[in-house]
Amino acid sequence: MSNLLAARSQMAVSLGFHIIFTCIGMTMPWLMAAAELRYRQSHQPVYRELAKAWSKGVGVFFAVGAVSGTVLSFELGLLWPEFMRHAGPIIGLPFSWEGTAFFIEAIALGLFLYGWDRLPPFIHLFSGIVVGVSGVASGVLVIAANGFMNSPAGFRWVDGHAVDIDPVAAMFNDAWASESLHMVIAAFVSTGFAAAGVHAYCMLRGSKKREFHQQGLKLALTMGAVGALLQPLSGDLSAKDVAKRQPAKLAAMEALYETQRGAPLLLGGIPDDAARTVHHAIEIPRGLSFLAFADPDAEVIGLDRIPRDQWPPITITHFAFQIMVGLGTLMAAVGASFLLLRWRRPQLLNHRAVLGCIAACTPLGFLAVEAGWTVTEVGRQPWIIYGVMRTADAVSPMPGLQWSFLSIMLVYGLLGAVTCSVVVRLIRANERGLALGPHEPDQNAGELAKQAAHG
Amino acid sequence: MAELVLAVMLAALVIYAVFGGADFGVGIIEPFVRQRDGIDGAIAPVWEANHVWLVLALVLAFVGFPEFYALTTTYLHLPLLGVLFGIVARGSAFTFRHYDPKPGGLAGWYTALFRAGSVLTPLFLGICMAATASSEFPTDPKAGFYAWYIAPWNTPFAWATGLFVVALFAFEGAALLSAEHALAGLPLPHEGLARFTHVFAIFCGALVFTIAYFAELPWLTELLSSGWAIAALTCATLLVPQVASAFDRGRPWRLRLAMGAQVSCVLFGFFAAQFPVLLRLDNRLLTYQDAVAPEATMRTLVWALVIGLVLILPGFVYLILVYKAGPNTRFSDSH
Repeated sequence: MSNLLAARSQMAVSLGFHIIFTCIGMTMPWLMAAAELRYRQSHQPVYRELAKAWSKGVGVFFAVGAVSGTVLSFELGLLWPEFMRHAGPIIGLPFSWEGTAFFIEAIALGLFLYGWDRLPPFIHLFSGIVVGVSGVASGVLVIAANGFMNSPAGFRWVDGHAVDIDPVAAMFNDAWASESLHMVIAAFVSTGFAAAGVHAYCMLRGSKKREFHQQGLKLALTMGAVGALLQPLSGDLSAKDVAKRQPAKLAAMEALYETQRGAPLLLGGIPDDAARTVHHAIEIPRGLSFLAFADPDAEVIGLDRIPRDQWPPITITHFAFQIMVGLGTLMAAVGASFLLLRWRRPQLLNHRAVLGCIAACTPLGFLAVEAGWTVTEVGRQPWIIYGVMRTADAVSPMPGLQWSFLSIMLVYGLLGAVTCSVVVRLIRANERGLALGPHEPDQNAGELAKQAAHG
Repeated sequence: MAELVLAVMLAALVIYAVFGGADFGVGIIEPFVRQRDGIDGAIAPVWEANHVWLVLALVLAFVGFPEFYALTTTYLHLPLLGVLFGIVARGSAFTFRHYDPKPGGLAGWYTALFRAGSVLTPLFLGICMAATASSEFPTDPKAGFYAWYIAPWNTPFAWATGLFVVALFAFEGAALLSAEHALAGLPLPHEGLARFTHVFAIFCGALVFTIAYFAELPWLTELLSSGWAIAALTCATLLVPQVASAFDRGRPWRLRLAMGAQVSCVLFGFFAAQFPVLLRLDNRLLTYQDAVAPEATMRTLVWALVIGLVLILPGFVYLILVYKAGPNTRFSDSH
C-alpha cells in the first residue's frame, strides 16, 4: 500500500466514522427539543420520556463525536502537512468559528442533560434548541472548508505559494452554500429515518411502551420524510454547481467518457475505463444535459476533455453516486408514503408491514451520507485543492503510514462496534423501564429496588 | 497581532492542562482511590468537551503559525498518535462506562482503557512539549527514519517531561476529587493521595531540571536567562505551601485555586523559556515571527476569537453558576 493510499484511507475511515456522529449530533437535538416542546404544551409524560431518551442518545454520540473530531484536527496535520501549511491560513477561519459553535453546543448540552429539575422550563427548552442550532452551525462551518477544497477562493497561487490571502472570501466560496444545504438536509434525513427505524423495530418486537414508540416514530419520521422530499431539490442545486465548476467530477459521477450534446443520464452500469464505455446501464436520453444545465441539448464535458492524469477514480465515484441517488429516491418514496398515511390513514401506521418497512430503512440515510461523501471526495481526486494542489503533493513524508492506517482502522472498528452494542443495550434498558444514564440513575435504581423489596 | 494569538494559544494549552488535565488525572489516580462513587460525577457533565481547548490551540497553530503546525505534525507524528490513542481510549471508555446500562464483561475493559488512556495522553503530550522545546530536528532528507521521526522525542529529557506531566495531572485529579467531595468543616477527602501526588509532581519536576542540566540543554540556560520564566517558576514554588495549607485547613476552593495557579505557572515558565523560538531545526531556529500567517489572516483570526469569546462567555458563566455554585451542589448522578 502506498503512503498516499494509506493516508487517504485513514482520512476516509476517520471522516466516515466522525460523520455519523456529527449527523446525529446536529439533528437529534432538534428531536429532543421538539419532544420537550410537546411536553411543555400538552403535559403528556410520554413526550418528557421521549426527550430524555433521545437526549441520552445525543449525550453518547456527542462525546464520541467530540473525541473523533479532536482526532481529525490532529490528522489534518499528521497526514496532510503540506496542505495545512498552505491552506491553514486561508481556510482556517471557519475552523475557529466551529470551535466556538462546538463550545456553545457543549455548554447547552450540559444544561439540557443535567438541568431537567434545576432550570426553569423555558430556559431548559431554550438550551435544547441552542444545542441544535450550534450543532448545525458546526456542520455548516466545517463544510466551508470542504467547499474551499472543491472551489478554491480567497488567494492567488504564485510559484507554489498562496499570496493575497483573503480568509473571508475563502470561507464564502462558491461551493459552500449548495454543499452545506445538501449535508444539513442529509443529516436530518439520516437521523430521522434511523431514530424512526429503531422505534419501529421496538414496536415489532412487541414493546410494552407502545405509546412511547408511536409518538417517537411519528416525530422522527416526519422530520426525516420532509427532509427526504426536500433533498432532491438540494441535490439538483449541487449537481448544477458541480457541472459548472468541476466537470471532471460530474463526468466521473455519470461515467461520461465522451463530450456530447444531449448527454444521457445513466442508471447503474459498470464503467470500463479501457474501452471508455459503460456496460449494462439504463440510459435516459438527454437526461444528464437536462439535469446539469436545465437544457436537454446542452453540451456536457466528458472525460475525453480531461487529461488522463487528472481523472478521478471513475468506478468508485460512479457507483457511490448511484448508491446515493438510489437510496435518496427510496427514502423520498418511503417518506412520502408515510406522510400520506399519517394524513389519511393513521391507523395503518401500526400495521406490521409498515413498521417492518420503516425498520428496514434504519441504516439507509447513513449509507447515503457515506456514499455522498465518497462522491465529493473521490470525485475531487487527484486534487486536494481543486486545480491547485495535488493530494500526492500534500501527503506526509513519513514512511510507513499504512501502519498508522491499520491501527486507526482497528481502533475505529472496535469503537464503532462497542458504540452500537451500548446503544442497543440502552434501548433495551429503556424497554425494561430502567432509565439508566445521566438522569438520576441511582434514585431510579433505588426506587425500583424499593418497589421490588416492598412488592 | 501575532503575539496576541500566541498568547491565546498558550492560554488555551494552559487551560487544557488545568481543566482537561484534572479529568485525565482522575483517570490516573482512580486505581488508588478507595471510594470511587463520585468519580464519574467529578468529570461530568460534559467531560470530553474540555478537548475544545486543545482543538483551539491546534486551530490557532494551523491558522496563525502554519509552518510550525506542519513541521510539528510531521516530526512528532508518532508521539502525537500516542496522544490521540489516549484521547480516543479514555473518552469513549468513560462514555461507555457512564452510559452502558449492562456492560457485563466489558466493564473491566472500559475501566482498563479509561485508566490506560488517561496516562498515555499526558505522557505523550509532555514528550511533544519537551521535543519542541529542546530537540534539534534534522532537515536532511537522507538522515533516515530514526533521526527524523524518533530521535527528536526519544530523549531522557522528553521522557522525564512526559512523566512530569503525568504526575502533574495526577495531582490535579486528586485535588479535583478532594475539592468536589469536600464537606464543610471536615478534613478534605483523598488528602493522603493528593499530598502524595503533589510531592511526586515536585520530584518529577526536579528530575526534569536535573536531566536538562546534565544533558546541557540550551533550554535550561534560556530558562535561567528569561525573567518571565524565572518569575513563573518562583510563583509556582511559592504556591507549594499554599497547597499544603489548603489541606491543613480543609479549604476546597483555596486548593483548587492554588492548584490551578501552580500548574499554569509551571507551564507558562516552561514555554516562556524558549520564547520566541517555536522549533529548533538543525539549520535554523523557527521563531513565531518566521512561522506567522499573513496579516489578513491574523486580523480575521483575532476578530473571530473576540466574537467567539463574547458568544461563549454568558453561557459558560451560567453553567458554572447553575452547577458549581453553592457548597454541596453536585451533579445529580453523583448523589
